[in-house]
Amino acid sequence: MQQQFEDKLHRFDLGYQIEKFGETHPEAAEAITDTLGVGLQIGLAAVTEGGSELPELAVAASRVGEIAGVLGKTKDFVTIAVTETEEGVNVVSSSETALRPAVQAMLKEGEVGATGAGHAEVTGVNAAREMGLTPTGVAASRPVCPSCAAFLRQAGVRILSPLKY
Amino acid sequence: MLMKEQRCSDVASLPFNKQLAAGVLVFERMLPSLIVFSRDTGLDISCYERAREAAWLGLRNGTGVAGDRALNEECLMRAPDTENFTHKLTSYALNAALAMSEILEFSVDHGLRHIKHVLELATDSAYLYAMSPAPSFPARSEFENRKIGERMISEESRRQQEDIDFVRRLPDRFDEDAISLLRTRANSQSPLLPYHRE
Repeated sequence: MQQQFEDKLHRFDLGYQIEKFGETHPEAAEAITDTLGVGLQIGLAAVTEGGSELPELAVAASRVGEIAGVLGKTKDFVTIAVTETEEGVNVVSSSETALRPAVQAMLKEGEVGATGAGHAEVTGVNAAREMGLTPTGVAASRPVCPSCAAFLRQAGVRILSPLKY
Repeated sequence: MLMKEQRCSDVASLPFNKQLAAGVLVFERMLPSLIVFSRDTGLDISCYERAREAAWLGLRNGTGVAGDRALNEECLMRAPDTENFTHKLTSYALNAALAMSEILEFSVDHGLRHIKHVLELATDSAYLYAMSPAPSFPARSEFENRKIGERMISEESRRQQEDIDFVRRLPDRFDEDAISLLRTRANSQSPLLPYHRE
């Protein structure tokens, strides 16, 4: 099942496609990214695909894109992750030691912020466990790196957003 | 009116060169993090140094920073990614790097949002610093962290307001005396982050 998710994400990763487009049309690609937000692009791609699991991808990826969208230019240098849990609480983490005030302000009911050094995906899963929650899936605002992907697979946590190539 | 809104409103009422000066003063306060980060990690910060010189020259000439898209692209390209560095100053160095990029873009399009973002990046640094684990505060609760963070943001906000008030009092066209006053202020201010706590 995880492999199927990842295959679909690779084929329908608009973020990747826009990045390629940006090699020849940088300003147009930047405008698209700024307008939509990477997470929303992923969400739209997932909805367009219409698979049974994809709406779930769309929700997580859209939400993480929405949160990262408040970071402006910083979002290209900081990763935000949303970790879904069996208990229904979403843990929001970042690749910095703490969430920035603008991200904190975005948190809504059912979401908790996590702090800790390291990559956002790992921080989110570890924080969820420390809170006594059971992480089930992680969506990140930027492509998930190989080491985080390996960590998530090992932990039995689904990857809900594109992988880094 | 919230302090942040007040600052934004105050900076919006300034002419271009004074908005630029306010941004440069805040950047100067953030720069020490980038310098220490560079010393420890080997990150090449020559583009930020060139951009800084260009900003000061622009203030002196009243022309803004010599519009150089290539320099801004270099500043963005060299900005440290938080996934690639584990150094404790990464976020603050990133914020300083992005602040300079915003100043360069402001100089090109005069968009006030760039200066507002410089102010926000500085307060973000203050907040992140307060929230980061520190040996002197090993057992701080999240509540205590939040209170310290709010206090540090408040302190940086106050300094930004003082910067804005300072540049407002300068003559509309910066002469040598005005540049000298700006330089003195930039050089005499303490860094954004209190390094003695580390």
